[in-house]
Amino acid sequence: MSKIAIEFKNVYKKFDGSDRYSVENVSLQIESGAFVTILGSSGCGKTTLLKLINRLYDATSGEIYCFGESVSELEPNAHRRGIGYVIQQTGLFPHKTVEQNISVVPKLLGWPEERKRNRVTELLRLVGLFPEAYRKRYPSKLSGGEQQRVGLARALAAGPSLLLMDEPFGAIDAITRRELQDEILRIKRETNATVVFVTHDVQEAFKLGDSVVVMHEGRVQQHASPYEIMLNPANAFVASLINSGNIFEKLKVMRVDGILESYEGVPNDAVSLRLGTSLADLLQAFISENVERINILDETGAIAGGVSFDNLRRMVGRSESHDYVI
Amino acid sequence: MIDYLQKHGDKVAALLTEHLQIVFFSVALAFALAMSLVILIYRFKFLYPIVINFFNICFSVPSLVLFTFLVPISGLGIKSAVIATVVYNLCVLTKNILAGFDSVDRAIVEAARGMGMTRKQTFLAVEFPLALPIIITGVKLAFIMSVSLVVLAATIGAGGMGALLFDGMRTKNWNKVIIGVIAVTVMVFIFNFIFSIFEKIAQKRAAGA
Repeated sequence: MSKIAIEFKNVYKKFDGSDRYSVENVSLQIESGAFVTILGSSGCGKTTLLKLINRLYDATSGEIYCFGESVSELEPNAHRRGIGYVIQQTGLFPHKTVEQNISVVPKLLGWPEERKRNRVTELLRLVGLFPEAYRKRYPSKLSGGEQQRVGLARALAAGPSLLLMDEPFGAIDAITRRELQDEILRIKRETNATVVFVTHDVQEAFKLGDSVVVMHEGRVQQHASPYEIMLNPANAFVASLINSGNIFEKLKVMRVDGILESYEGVPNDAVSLRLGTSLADLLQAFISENVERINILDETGAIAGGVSFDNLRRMVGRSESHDYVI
Repeated sequence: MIDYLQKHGDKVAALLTEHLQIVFFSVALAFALAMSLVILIYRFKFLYPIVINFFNICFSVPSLVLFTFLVPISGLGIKSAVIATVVYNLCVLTKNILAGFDSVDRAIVEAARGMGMTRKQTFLAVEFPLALPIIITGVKLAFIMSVSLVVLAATIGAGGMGALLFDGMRTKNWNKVIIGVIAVTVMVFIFNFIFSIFEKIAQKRAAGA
């Protein structure tokens, strides 16, 4: 089941004219179908790490494998056509319509017109844009959020099994950003692609990632589930990044998925929340609904388990028992 | 003046044709050279400052000096006129074409490459259309400048409307002068008009409209 999509083996990257490594001794495995976020401040090497995967950069030493094949042995253009790529400034072609933009990779792959057209319709629906209203429009006539939806559709055009996203929502206002975050989670579920998502936003990284790679000064500081990172930050840097002193900040980024208890028969009046809900929202539900236990539903609406108030308190308390000198 | 045109119309037309031929040929040749040079500069970045500085120096040489300088090398006549005009056009065109490509948002190029477009596909389908408005501005400037340069080229015997103008001045034949002035002005005006339209179309296309 858990095939490896991307593997870094002792990868180093130094740019010409720089005296330090941008990426230093990175070894990392990303499972097929996973949603992995790479978190770090600017200059930490997170974007470089991403571009090593699609060979916009080549590693100075070390090996990178993409679905078992060493990327250094793949023809770069053919390799890239099989990977969806979304960047912050969208990179949409301003002189091409939405339809032409989305059709870039299918055109490179030589799809017939009919198939391209149908795919554009399908993708615009997938990203929540009404196909007939948008296909003939130019990017300059779209809002920032709409542009990024088109950018996402373009990246998904040829049905890639891997999606690389480089701070895609960085330039978008907070409300639209939250909307797009929910969309990308839904799209990820529907397409089942492996997603590698670079961000400097802690909340975004923890909300989206099944696992989070924390980068600092070119090195991977920790690669673990959001929950694990919150409970056991690997070092002082990670601890400071997640702001370990502030309980409420933690609750905002921790998800209910990590403290799920098995289903043990639920009272009729139980309140329900969905998987992926933050612990902050869970706490709020406990207080406002005044209940002892809350059901957690999966995407299909079936009960995945439950959480009791005691359990929440115990878990949060445990994560507070660690002390770090920063 | 009308009388003069009726009498020597064919001669004036021949000079005008000659003038335009030199202009078109010089701009076309300079454009082809400038484009190749820009592609070369993009492959070998270290050439960028060298080429720009060299052209800046060339461009600061007064045109009459360059024409005279060329006479012992390539002789009197059209050959020297074309060489000098091409050199000036190269300065203007290379700088404008480079400015055009520099104006293309790097993120767009990166997205193109990241999606697996080859260098050539990226150049033809993305960079060139987006750089086109500024390139056309360069071509417009080159045409306008060439019209005046070729006037001066008459001093080294290249013919064209300059021959008529200078001849008229020397012999105090004001008909010739007036016809020369009007012809040159109208040429500049027409080039400016036509290329401004192309410029607008390219701008609209590049911005998506």
